[in-house]
Parts: sequence; structure tokens; C-alpha cells
Amino acid sequence: MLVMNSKEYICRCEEVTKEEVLQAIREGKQTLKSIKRATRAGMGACQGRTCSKLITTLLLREGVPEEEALELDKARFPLVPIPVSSLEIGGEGDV
Amino acid sequence: MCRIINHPIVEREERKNVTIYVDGKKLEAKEGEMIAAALLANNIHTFRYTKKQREPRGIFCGIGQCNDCVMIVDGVPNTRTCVTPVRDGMVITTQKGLGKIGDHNAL
Amino acid sequence: MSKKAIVVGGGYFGCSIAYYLAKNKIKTILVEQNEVGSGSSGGNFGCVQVQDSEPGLSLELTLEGYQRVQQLEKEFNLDLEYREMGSLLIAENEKDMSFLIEQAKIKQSWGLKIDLLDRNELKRVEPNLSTDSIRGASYCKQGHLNGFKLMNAFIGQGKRYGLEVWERTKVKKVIAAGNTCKGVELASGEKLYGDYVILATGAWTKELCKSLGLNVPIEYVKAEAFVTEQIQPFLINYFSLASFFTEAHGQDETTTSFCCVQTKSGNLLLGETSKPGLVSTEESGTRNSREHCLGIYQEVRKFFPSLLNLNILRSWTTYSPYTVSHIPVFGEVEVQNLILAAGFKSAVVLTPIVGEIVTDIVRGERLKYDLSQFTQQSRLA
Ligand SMILES: Cc1cc2nc3c(=O)[nH]c(=O)nc-3n(C[C@H](O)[C@H](O)[C@H](O)COP(=O)(O)OP(=O)(O)OC[C@H]3O[C@@H](n4cnc5c(N)ncnc54)[C@H](O)[C@@H]3O)c2cc1C
Ligand code: FES
Repeated sequence: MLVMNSKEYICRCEEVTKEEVLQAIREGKQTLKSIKRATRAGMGACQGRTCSKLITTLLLREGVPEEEALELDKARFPLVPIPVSSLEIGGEGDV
Repeated sequence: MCRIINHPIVEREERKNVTIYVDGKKLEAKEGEMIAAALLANNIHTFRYTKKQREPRGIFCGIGQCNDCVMIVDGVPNTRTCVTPVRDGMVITTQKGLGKIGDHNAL
Repeated sequence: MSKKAIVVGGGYFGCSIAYYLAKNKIKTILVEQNEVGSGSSGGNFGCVQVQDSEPGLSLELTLEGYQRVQQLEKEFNLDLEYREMGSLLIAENEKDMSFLIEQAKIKQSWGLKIDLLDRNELKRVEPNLSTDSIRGASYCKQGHLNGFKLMNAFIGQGKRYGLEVWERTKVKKVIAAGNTCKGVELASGEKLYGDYVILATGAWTKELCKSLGLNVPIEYVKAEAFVTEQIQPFLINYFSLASFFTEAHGQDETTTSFCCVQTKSGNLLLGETSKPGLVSTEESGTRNSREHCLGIYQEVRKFFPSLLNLNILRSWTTYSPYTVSHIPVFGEVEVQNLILAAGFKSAVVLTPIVGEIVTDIVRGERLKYDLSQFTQQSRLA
């Protein structure tokens, strides 16, 4: 059986809908980062791998200036999920 | 069982059968294939239920990016089944909402 | 004519101060160099901490603030993911335990309900904790919320009262004529004038006050943190180490200190503060260090070994302001019409009360509290 749902999900991990993202944009959020912080879109297990392009599209469509709409959220360690145990990296310097 | 028997390009290689346990049911899988492939071959399409809306989810990207296909595998929650190969005797459970640490011990 | 205030800094305090000012009909502009929450407030754990507070006025304000934070969801009619939880301060040795016992005694006399727990009792309140290396703990009720939602709420509600928020706008310096503050000069060269300037600039406050000749004793530590994937409730309380107070915030000690909490969404936040003095606000200073990766790994292995297989999704670093005296720099200083609000030990819990007090100052109301002990430490050179 195919269950049809009228909701359009933008962030599948955190179950954030298009409507919620548009709402955040209307409230003045103009970057991936600020939308993430307002809605949790991009905070989930895949860290925005799926939703960031969709959100960027929505930002541009809503008329947000390119400078902000195209601003990427900073990529940070560890880039892909790694278990806590693999933090056992000794030595000096940054990761 | 639904598998591609004849593929126009990819040659079919013989693989050994292994046994996996999905939600307590004993199923057959091919050695080395991904859990998601084994489940689809066994006509299982719902891998988990989402945490907020409790909606069914299965495979989406199929390449380990989206985390839609996660299940509890040998007690480890949030395991991406599309990039995790089966193992003989593997215990796989449908993940309902958030997984729990230490489910492994309970099994 | 209504008064005009300029709030510098969009962290917890800048946001709350701006909200209460605007709500009380002060024409308010909030100026933030990056985005709201881009400082320490965007990198912290959202605990509404109570037991960490320094006995005296800090604790008094904390208890007042705690009451108010619990009302915020109702006041805003918004979900801030607020909930009650316990807070554990862990002692691993006799020195830290005596510190906890002494602190508990003093704070109890201020009306705070703190319990001292031995290992068995600890096991009961935090069943997944491995207590082998632990001597004991002090336990107190606290709250937890989503800090981003809190800042968004202050800003969003403030805008309804006419609050203006200027993000990506850096204040270059504070403008003063003689000993009176007149406004601020922006990096663009533009000048903003107002009846009051409020600096809620966290770790940046010391630097910003230098040109005024004002010596502000706010230091900062670098903190590093990780967020894990979501799991069912695992950690019941906010977990932190007493060594944070006995060592990490000492003048030039070099100890690191671990803390963790599980959010309402199920993520675990794992953090460690670093040595003072090792910080830089350069881009490279925002990377996570191998040293802390190892440190956090070791702490997790010691206290919560069953979490070792849990996946980490993201890391971040932040600069957390503090004062060696443990009391904040808060109130009016020797420069007239300038209010400083930074260097608080616990932030979230104090946001409403700090916002209210600043509003009272700006409106010229009689203050309910004597802030002189908070302001005395900042003197003109
Ligand atoms: C890992 C970690 C966990 C923590 N957990 C908790 C917790 O659970 N609960 C709690 O209460 N506290 C916690 N803290 C402490 C808390 O984060 C800080 O005390 C709090 O964020 C300080 O808020 P603030 O508004 O003073 O400073 P900030 O949030 O740093 O805000 C200052 C703002 O001023 C801006 N600014 C600076 N200079 C200028 C300028 N010249 N022009 C314009 N803007 C400027 C900055 O960009 C920044 O946004 C934690 C800290 C760390 C590091
Ligand atoms: S289907 Fe996307 S990660 Fe498996």
C-alpha cells in the first residue's frame, strides 16, 4: 500500500517540512546555518547532505540575495559519522 | 524472493547463502550483499518508523548518504543498511523512532 | 521622547537585554558582528544551571532567574524544549569532594536544595554511569532548553515591540566624550548614538573596553564539543566535573574539564574546556584539537563506556568568557551611560533577570539589587 502524505519533507532526518522552512525564511532566516538553528533542518544524522541543496533552492526562490542563500554551513570534523572510540587519536595539532 | 536473475550487463555470480534474523524471522540472504538488498529481495520495504510522525521509511538514496534506511543491527541502532553487508546470523530489528544503546546486550 | 539604547552582542545576554528593553518601550538596536548566536551562546549546552552559581548576589539572581526561565514558554507561547532535569557535579578525589561539601553547605544556607551523593546513590540517579573513579557528587535540580530557540524567541518577540537587529555589523569602538558614553562606531565608519550603550560582548568585552581606558577582567577559555547521533534517553542528568571549578577556571592552571548532557531530541553533547591562555580568535583557532579528541574519548571511556560505539556527527569550538573572581562584570561602570553585561558563570538561567535589571537601569528605576560588587572590578586605568 502506498501511503500518500500531503507534507513535503525537506529534511528527512529531522522530519522538517517545506512549510516550516518557508516559515523560517519569512521570519528573516537567510542562511543554511540560521535555518538549521531555527528548524533543526540539517542537524540530523546526515548533517544536511540531503536537505541543504533543497533549502538553498528555497532561499533563492524566496528572493534571498545570493550572497546569503549560497553561503555554505561550515563543514566540520568528523565530516562522516565516526564512533566516539575513534577519537582516540593522540598527538598534537588540529583535526 | 525477488532478485534479478538475468542482467544485461552485470554478470551473475554465485554467492553462498547466509541466514539473517529480521524482527525474529529467519530469512535467507546472499553472502556479501548489503542488508537493504537482502531485505528488498525478501520483499521487506519498511525498515524503520520515523521518530516524530512514526511514518514508515525504507531505502531512499541507497548510497549511505541520507540515513533513511537505518535499523538496529546486532544491537547497534542507526545502522545504515544500504552500506552494511549481511553477516551469517545477523540480528536485524526494525527501528521505531530512536534506537537504544545496549539493545545488543538484551538480545 | 522615548530613550534609545544600543545593545552590542547577539548572545544570550544581548538577546535577552534587547528583548526586555524593547518590551519596555526603549527604542533598541541590537548590533551583532556575525549572526545572532555566533559566539559562546551558539556553542553551549543549554542548561539552566543553578548549582554552579557563586554564593551571594550571583546565587540570588540565579534563583530569581530560574523562576523566570520556567515561565518563558508561557510568556512567549513558544516551545523552547524546556524541561527539568538534575545536575551532577562529580568529585573524583578528596580535594574536589571537600569543595563540593563546603559549597553545598554555603548554598544550602542560601536556600538552594543540594544533595550530596555517595557512589551508590549516584548509581541510582544516573544508572548508566560507571562510578569506579568517582568519589561522590552533589546533586541539584536544574532546567534544560534549546538555546537557539531561546535566542530566536527573544529576538522574534523583541521585533514585535520594535526591536531592530543588525547582524553582520561589527562595532569598532565605543564613542565617549570625557567620561560619558555617546554611542558606537561601526566597522563601516557609521556612528550610532544612543542614551545607553550595553556591551553584552562576552569574551570580546575586555578588548572593546580597552579604548575607553577601562580595564575589564574578563578572560576566556576555549571549549571544544561534539554532538552524537540521537538515541533513546540514556543520560538523565547534566553531568559535569567539580574540577571545572577547582582547577580549570583558576588563573593559570592547565586542567581540562569534561561535561555532557542529552538533549530533548536525543543527541548527546560532549564537551571539554581547555587551558586559558591557549586561545586565538583566528580562523585556525576554531578547529578542534587532537588533544581534546583524546581527552573526551578518555572521559567517555571512564564514565560512560557504553557510549563508545555511538557516532559523532559534528564538532565545534567556542570561547567561553569567565572572570577569575567567578563573579560577573555587570552594571554601570565608571564610564557614564555604559552598561557591561558579561563574564557570567551560568548564562541561560540569568537571561531574564539580567534583561530586567538592564531595563531598570536604562529607565532610571531604583534597582532592587546593589550591583557594585559586580562593577567595582572594572576600573578606569
Ligand atoms: C561547551 C560549553 C558549554 C556551556 N554550557 C552552558 C550551559 O549549559 N548553560 C549555560 O548557562 N552556560 C553554558 N556555557 C556558558 C555560556 O555559553 C556562556 O556563558 C554564554 O554563552 C555567554 O553569553 P554572552 O551573551 O555573554 O556571550 P556570547 O554568546 O559570546 O555573545 C557575545 C556576542 O558578541 C558579539 N560581539 C563581540 N564583539 C562584537 C563587536 N565588536 N561588534 C558586534 N558584536 C560583537 C559576538 O559575535 C557574540 O555573538 C557553556 C559554555 C561552553 C563553552
Ligand atoms: S538509503 Fe540513504 S543511507 Fe541508506
